[in-house]
Amino acid sequence: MKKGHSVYFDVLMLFIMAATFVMALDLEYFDLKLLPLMVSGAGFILMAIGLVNTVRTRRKEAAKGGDERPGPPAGIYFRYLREGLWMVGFFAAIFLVGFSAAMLIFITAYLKANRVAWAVSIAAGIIGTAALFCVCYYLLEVQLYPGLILKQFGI
Amino acid sequence: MLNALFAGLIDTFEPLRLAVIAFGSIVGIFIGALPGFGPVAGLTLALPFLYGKDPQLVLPFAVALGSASYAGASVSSIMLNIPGDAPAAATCIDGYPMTRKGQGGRAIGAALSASTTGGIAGVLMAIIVIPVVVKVVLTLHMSEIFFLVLLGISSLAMVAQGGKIKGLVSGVLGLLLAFVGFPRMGSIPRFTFGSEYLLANMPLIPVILGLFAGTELVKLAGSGEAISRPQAVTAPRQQMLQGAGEVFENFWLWFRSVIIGYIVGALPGIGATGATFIAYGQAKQMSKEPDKYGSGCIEGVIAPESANNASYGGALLTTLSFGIPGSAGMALILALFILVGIVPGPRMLIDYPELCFMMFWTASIAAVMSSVFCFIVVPYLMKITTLHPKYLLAALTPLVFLGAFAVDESMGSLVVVLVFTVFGVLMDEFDFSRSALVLGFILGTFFEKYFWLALRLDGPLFFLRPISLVIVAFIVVSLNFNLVKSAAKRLFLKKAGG
Repeated sequence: MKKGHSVYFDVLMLFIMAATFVMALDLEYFDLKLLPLMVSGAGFILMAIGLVNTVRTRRKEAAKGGDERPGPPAGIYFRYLREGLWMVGFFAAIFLVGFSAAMLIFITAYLKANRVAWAVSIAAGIIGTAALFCVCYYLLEVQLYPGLILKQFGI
Repeated sequence: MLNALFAGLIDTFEPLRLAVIAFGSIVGIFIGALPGFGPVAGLTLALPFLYGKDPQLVLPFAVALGSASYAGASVSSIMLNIPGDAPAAATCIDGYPMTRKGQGGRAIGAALSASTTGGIAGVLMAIIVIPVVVKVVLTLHMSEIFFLVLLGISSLAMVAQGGKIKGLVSGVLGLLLAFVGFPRMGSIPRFTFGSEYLLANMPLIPVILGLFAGTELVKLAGSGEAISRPQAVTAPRQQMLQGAGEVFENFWLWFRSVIIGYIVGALPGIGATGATFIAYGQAKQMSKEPDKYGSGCIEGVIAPESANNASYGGALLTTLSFGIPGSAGMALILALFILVGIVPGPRMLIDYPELCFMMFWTASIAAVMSSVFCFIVVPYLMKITTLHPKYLLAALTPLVFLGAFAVDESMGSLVVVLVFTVFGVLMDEFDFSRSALVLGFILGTFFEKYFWLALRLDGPLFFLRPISLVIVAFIVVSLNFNLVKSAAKRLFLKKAGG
């Protein structure tokens, strides 16, 4: 499968290098700024060469009438985005209702949304949450975040 | 050194440690057999649980997991034609055709036997070389250690999938991430954007969890289908025993492959994938019947499998003696050292000899244990590859977030996981190397520390010391390997013509 030559992502990387270089210039002391300047400067030059390579490769491919290698499957980026949004949703749930409730909601809702039967989804949610709860208390020994709502009520 | 060698051996055979190695081996087998997720993402998930725990238990677990994952990966390569990780791809070439001919058990038996004996031989060779390596390490100055760190970063970058430039840029990005927060040798923070969370440096575990575990989960679930469909593949035990015996009948092939695996594995950046394909290539070239390769011959399984696990001993030696991890898996072992409070680098073999030897012994014991377990659990291994990714994402996403949260009990870590999951997917899609980024990030603090030490102790011309120049020349040549190769070819042709 053909893998990426994205001018946009290359430009983003170039921007990150340039921004780091400018921020490093603003640092007060020589000891602080020397290595970040050297590294980001080198990164900028490398990425600029990379970007030129990407543009040249694209032009060559266009001149040949397009890249013959198969591209990524249709709709793959949309599916990545959907799975990524589930993760963002899980994070938002943790922030609002805390870890324990968020785990239960996430596992149940995610399985249900992927066409698993209600009973199985709920059972998996309860068992999964209980298992992860045990992992937390006995293996990791951490105090789980209670969530903004419970915090508001002082619980 | 001899005392440490035997002390390490005795330590390894303590009952609790053996239990940890057995557990690591079982986890490694299943993770290795699970295509798409991979041993690196698996080890990443284990990192939060190992954070701050006893290094004498944590390090054997990680080494056992890494070593055993080879065995699991070879089973899914042979039975399903799906390599569990990149090095196992060479085993598919002849392993799967053997399964289709009804000789899957024979191929698995040979693979497990070659892998186990190769792993033990690789470790023994590493142990034999250690006294020489220690002498070399003791002669190194700060400037040379600095350039070794640079070599470590560039070595992984130069074999990155998307090409050297993208690999190097990824490594540079990792270095820049390491500059966030308070510097090692200073008291003024950098690049924190006013965030209190970033004052304590960019956290290692959430970054790795996002880049590997988060990214793999999104990609796997995004693919929307089970890794493999249920198939009626079987591996009769009798056939497996027959295959195991055939390794000894092909002793010289095994021996050559082990040597290749060990040497190539010890070279930074090339690793097990290079070792398996080179071993397969030499087996075919030196064979009297090269045409039978690819159609399902036992030699085509023995060669890559012997080299695969032998490369682990070589890679472990380079990682422990010079602090240069040759692969993402070894970079995680290095990260684990930091997490349990051990400073990785060229002095590891000198400062922690018993622990280092224990890790070598662990690798060989794990190779034996993983083969025995594989022999027992082959039918179940097939079943986990038919698991739909939706169950994996539902179970593992909370584990990823919990692992990140457990590091410092801060919601900031979860944000870091999300950001690096997105960045990891983009990097993977556009062929930037996540492994090089992680390596740059892990070695970044040492990069800065040794740079200033070299500058202060050896002066501004520290790069002119002879060994430093040799390392710099090695970096330049390896980065321009194709250029050097074509120049040498031209010179050779000119001489031949003249």
